[in-house]
This record gives sequence, structure tokens and C-alpha cells, in this order.
Amino acid sequence: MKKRSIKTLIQLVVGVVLLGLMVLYASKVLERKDAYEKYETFFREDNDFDVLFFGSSNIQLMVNPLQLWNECGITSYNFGNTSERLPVTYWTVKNALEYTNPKVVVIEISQYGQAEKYKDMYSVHLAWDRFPLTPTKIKAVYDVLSPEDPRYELLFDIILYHDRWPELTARDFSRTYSKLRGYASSHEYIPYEKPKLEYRIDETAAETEGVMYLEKTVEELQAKGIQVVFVHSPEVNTEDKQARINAATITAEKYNVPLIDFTVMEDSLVDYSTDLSDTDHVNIQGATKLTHYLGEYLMDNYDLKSHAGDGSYADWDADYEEFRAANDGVQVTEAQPEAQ
Amino acid sequence: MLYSFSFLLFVAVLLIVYYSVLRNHQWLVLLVGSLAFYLVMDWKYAAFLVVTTVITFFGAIKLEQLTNFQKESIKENKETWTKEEKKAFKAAVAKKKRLLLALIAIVAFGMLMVFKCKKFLPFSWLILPLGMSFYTFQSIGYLVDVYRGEVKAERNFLHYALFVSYFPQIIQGPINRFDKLHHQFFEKHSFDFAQLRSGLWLYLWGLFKKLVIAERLAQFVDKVTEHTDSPPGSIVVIAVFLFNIELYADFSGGIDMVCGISEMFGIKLADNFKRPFFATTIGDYWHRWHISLSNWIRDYVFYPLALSKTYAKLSSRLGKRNAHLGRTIPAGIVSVITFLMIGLWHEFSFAYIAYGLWHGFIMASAQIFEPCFNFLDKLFSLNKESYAMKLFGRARTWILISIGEMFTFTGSFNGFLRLFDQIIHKFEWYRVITDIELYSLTYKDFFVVGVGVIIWYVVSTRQENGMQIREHIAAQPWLFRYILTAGVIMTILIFGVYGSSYNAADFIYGGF
Repeated sequence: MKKRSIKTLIQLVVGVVLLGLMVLYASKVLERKDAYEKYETFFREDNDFDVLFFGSSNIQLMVNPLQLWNECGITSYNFGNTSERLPVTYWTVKNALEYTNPKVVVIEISQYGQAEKYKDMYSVHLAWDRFPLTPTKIKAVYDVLSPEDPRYELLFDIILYHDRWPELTARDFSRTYSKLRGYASSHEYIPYEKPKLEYRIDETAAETEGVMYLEKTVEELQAKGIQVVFVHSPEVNTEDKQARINAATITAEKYNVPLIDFTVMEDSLVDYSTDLSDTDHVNIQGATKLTHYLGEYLMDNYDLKSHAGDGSYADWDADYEEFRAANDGVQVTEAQPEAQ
Repeated sequence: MLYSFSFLLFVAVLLIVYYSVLRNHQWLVLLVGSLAFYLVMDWKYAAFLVVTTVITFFGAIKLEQLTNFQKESIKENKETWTKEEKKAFKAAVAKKKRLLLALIAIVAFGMLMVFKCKKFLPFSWLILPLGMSFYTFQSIGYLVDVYRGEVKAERNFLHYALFVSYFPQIIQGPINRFDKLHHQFFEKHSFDFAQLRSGLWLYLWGLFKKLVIAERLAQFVDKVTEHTDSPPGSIVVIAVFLFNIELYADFSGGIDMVCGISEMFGIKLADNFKRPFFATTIGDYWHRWHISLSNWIRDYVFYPLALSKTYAKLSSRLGKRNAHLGRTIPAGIVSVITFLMIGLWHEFSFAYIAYGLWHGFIMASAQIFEPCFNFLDKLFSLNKESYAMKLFGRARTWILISIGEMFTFTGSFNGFLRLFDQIIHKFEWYRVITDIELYSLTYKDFFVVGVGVIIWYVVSTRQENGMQIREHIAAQPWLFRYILTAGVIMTILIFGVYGSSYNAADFIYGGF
């Protein structure tokens, strides 16, 4: 009887493992590949990153880690993600720190003062789908999403992606991924004029829930000895929106965090007539200028050492060369008006 | 919902407690679990469950007391009472019993009717309490059984409460009988892996039918019935055909899941389906479809009516003129009444009255015109036992059932008239080819449904030939069993219709 029970138990374990492997494989094939492609190089990196960038798509299109590597020899990853609100950023930071130990974290604050915890499920999936299921991820899901939201779909994304079976292509089986370390580039421009805005602070913005999360982010990073920098990308803003973002100075002062606002900066570095792909995002030309600026700023102000020449970072050199070969000589073109 | 993560977790926890720490108080685990389940699912309407349980529990005891009182009194006064006195006493007690039974039935059915008739009442916002149609019929069935002396009244209220509220069955039945179910709760159920696995297989099979077939077809059917620009008649005919499959997959899938869960606890619930679309007549269909309801109606409505004095009088009066009509017309009238009740059990609406009457009239016609059909069979030398005639019978039954379903599948009688009008005046057969993908499903979806239905058909054919599918699988090598189980789970995971991309749908019969 006992022997039979052990046999049954072994069979059960084999069966469960078999099922687990099938589910795992199906999940990998069926998942939407954008999160995998964007974050895969983060998980494949053996060394610690020096700098991590967080925020919305504003920073995703603004900082190119491969350029930073080439110019400064520092490693960085761009976690900037579509419409990412500050509560999501808080948990993205916490999840990311489980896998690396950066010296500096740069947070883009164009979402400062936004009332909602997240914009839509798509953006949350994009931010978190690639993170393995850990207690931190579970806490993130239960904190940001309400009980009415499809929380399980974030923990077990096959629930959401299972019906992709009719649209599977070779790409879903290939497991190719971006080498850009989170950066996304645009080669289009829309000519704008830099708006002349009267400097004003909307103090109510500092009382929103999102700002509480930003404060928590800063507190926890500083407690770990990680330096924090706030940046704001160059935007074509209304005065009201900029007043909301200006309120970030309140938080910056409170925690003694430097704030670099490329929108209000006298010499904003970027040329509004050629360097923006839309009102909120810079194109590759703008990104090159801003990345260069930030590289110098980080090297000047923080204890960052160049890893140039270190053999263990050889893939950074190779990936930069690949990036350069693909983008050198590519001209930015004016976007069609309807694209606005 | 029967396949939500929290429900599965609830069942898992209950199973662990059931077979371990509280294995000597298993019925208590089921009772606490059932009550907890009901309170979580529908606490606002739990009072109705309590009222029905209380009145039928005490009513049954009182009925039994009256029966015992009658027996004892007659025994005591055996020598002193005359025959007339005995008869008068019996009649008086019987009257009391009938009155009590009627009173309790009126209260229980009255509560149910309030919800069933809500469309016609000022409180249409009411939502039918979870399982009310099922627990009301189940408890009234028990009461009648006690009234008839067929079962003994349960004296332990908690034991009885479990019979009424047992959590797997309360969602959408089946309607169980006290003598078949109740004793199982108090038997010792030792953990048996094979039994647990068998229950799991039944659950997965039901889940496959629900998520892969029913939910997918529901998208098409809902789109056709809700379409603001009336769809062409050809699409409506396809939708009716598919609605039949959807309804069967949904209901039988749900019942399989419920029975599978119950089997994991060692409790066998009543059968509710026996491959209804293999039926060659409507009568045969009702022996195979929603068996627990049709049996209930047969035992507690049809037989009492068929054995009534009025029936006998009518039969005798007509029989003097024509023996066949004397036999079939009263039976036909009773058929119409019972099927009307089956219709009303679903919902008090014109659509379901039409549904019930349709089935009733077909049943009545089949009996009354039987000599005509026999004459035609003889005239054309038709062998009823031949495969072709069976196939014809199945197709005819399917069509008749489909017409009946048409009354209800839009949710209103006006909807039926609108779609019927489309079939008559705007059939446009070619649009089945050109427009079929305009109604939520792609060709790939139809392919998945097609494969699913073929698998289901093959399994059903084997069952019809007497194969016990799960026993057959259990006899296979273990690796085959695990690959099959994992394959079914993967099929459901990938091809099932669930998740936030779809509207979460409850079971159709959960709403009745």
C-alpha cells in the first residue's frame, strides 16, 4: 500500500512538472513580446548597472544607454514606459532593484501631480510583464490595482494573452530582443516653437497620491544609499500642465534631490523646431543631445567610474556599434500633420 | 464562478480539511463550506434560503407527526372505531396534511414566483437569489416525499440544511432527491486519489465544454440576437443551431463541473444529461435533457395529475366514444400542463410560456396522432430501428427543439417574432458565406468549435454505447493519463474564452 502511494506520488509530481513546463512554454510563446523585447537585456546583464532611468515614455525616448556607455563608459538601463504613472514607477523601481544595485536612479517627473494610479492595463503590463513572479511583484499588483481590476492577469499573464493563438507569427517563437537597453528612438520630427510660460507652481499637485509614491521612492532609494535625480523632458506644455510639474521642486527640495527641467531651462539644449517627435517626446536628435548632457552631469556629480576597456562589458561595445551602424546617417524626417 | 481562482482555492482548502483534520466531521465541513459559499456569493438574499429551509424542515416534521398520529390513533382505536369513523378520521388528517403541504408549497413557490415574475412587478431590479429555483424544488420534493411517507423526516436541522444548501449543487443544480443524496453526507469518505482524479477529469471536461465551446459560441449568438441591424435569416438559422450547442455545452459543462467537484468529496449527485441530441423523439429528449427537473415534474406534477379523479373521469368519458382518444387526450392535456410548468420554472415570461406550450403540444400531438404516424410508417415500409430512420428522428428532434429554443434565445417573445420575420422575409442564404465573420467569431474560432464538438460527439457516441470514459482512461498507462490531463488543461488555457478581454459570463442555467 505504502509502495503504491509512493508510486502515485512520483507519478503526480512528474505530471505536475510536465504540466508546469507546458504552461511555461505556452506562456512564453503566447505572451505579447513588447515587454520581453524591451527588458530582456536587463535580465541578461551579469554586472550591476551604474544608473537606472525610470518614468514615462518621455524618458524612454530621451536617454540612450548605449550612447552613455560610449561617451562615459557607464552602464545604464532605461525603464521609461508608456504612460507610466508614479505609483507604477515606485513598484517598477522596487522590482528592478531586486536584480541590480545601481549608484544613481534618475526619475522623470512629467507625471508629477497625476491623480490616477495607472493609466491603463496595457501600460502596467508593459512595465511588469517581464518581471518574474516574486512577492514584490505580487505586492505591486495588489497595491496599484483595485479588486475590480484583472489582477490575476498581471500575475499569470497567460490569462490575458491566451487568445493570441490566432495571431502567432514566427516572431513569437524567435525570442529576439532589443539591445537598446530600454531606449526607443524616433526618427521623425514636428517643428514646434518653444512656449513662453510664466513660471508658476500648482501646489495642489504636490498633494496627490502619485507624489506620495514618488516620496516613498526617494526615501527608500536614499535609505539604500542610492543617489536620486529628477529630470523633466522638454515638452510643449500648457502653462497649467507645467505649473503642475513645477510643483516637483517641492519634493526635490524636501529630499534634497537635484531637478533638471529641460522644459523650463533657459537653454533647453534641444531645438524645438527639429528635435521633438511630438509635444512630449524628443526624437533621436534630441535624445543624443540630452543623453550627452546627462552623461556629463552624472559623471561630474556622482562617483561613477568608466568601465571602458573592461572585457566583461564587451557586449556593450558590440551593441553600441550595432546601434551606430543602424542609425548613423539616418535623417530625421518631418512627420505628417495628421500624425499629431 | 465555478472556475475562478478563488473558488478553486476554496475547494482545495475544503478538500484538505475534509480529508484531514476534520475527517470525522466531514458533513460539518460541507455545511460550513456551503454556508460560507452562499454568504460570499449572495448574502443579501440568504434569508430566502433560510426561510425555505426552515419551513420545509419543520413542515416535514409536522407532516410526519400527523402521519404517525393517524397511524397510532387508528391502532389505538382499532376496536372502538367503526369503518366510517376511521374513514372520516383519515380524511380529516389527510386534509390537514394537504393543507399544510399546500401552505408551505405556496410560501416557497410564492417567494420563487416573485423573482420569476419580476418583469411584471414593480421591483424588476430584484436579482434571482443564487440557486433558488433548484433549492426550492429540491426541498419541496423532499416535503412531498415525507408527505407520501416515502422518506423519513430529518430531525436534525443542520443535517437538513446541508441537503438544501450543499454548495456544488446550489449554483445550477441538479435537483437532487433526499433519499439519494442525504445519506451520502454522513457516510465516512476516506481519501481516494483515484476518486479525486476522476472528479477532476469530470470537472475539466465540463470546463472544456463551457470555456472552449459554449463561451465561444455565446459571442456569436449574442451578437446575432443583439444586432441592431437585423441579421439575415440564414445567419439567424445558424445562430439557433449554434445556440442549441451552446446551451447544451454551457449547462452540461456546468453540471459536469459541479458533479466533478462533488465527486472529489465522495458525494455523487443526480444525473442531469444523457446525450439529449441523440434523442429520436421529443419524449426521448426529455428523458435525456435536464433529467433532474423532468423527473421532478414527472413525479410531483405529472403523476399526481394523471392519477387524479378528474383525469380518470375525463378518460372514461372520452374512452366511451373512442378508446384511443380516451387514453391520449387526457394524457396530452397533462403533458401540456407539465411542460408549461417546465417553461415557467425557467422564467415567467411569454417566451417561456411559448417554450413550454410548444413542447407540451408536440408531446400531446405525438400521442394523439400516433396511429397516423404508424400508418405512414406502414405505408412507406419504414423501419423505425434502421439507422437512417434514427438519424431522421434525431434531425427532426433537433429541429423541433431548435424552434422551441428560438422562443427564448433572444430573451423575449418580441425578439423571437423579429428573428422569425427575418427567416421568412430576408433569408439571404449567401450571407452565411459572406457575413459569418461579422458576428464576433472568425473562421479560426469556428474551427476550434468544430474540433471541440467532434471530440465531444465521439466521446458521446462511446458513452451511448456504454463505455465508462473515465474508467477507460484510468485503465491506461499513467504517462498517457497525465499527458491527456495536461493536454486538456492546456487546451482550455489556450483555447478557452476567459479573462478581461471578454465579458465574464455566468452559467445560463445559473440564472434560472
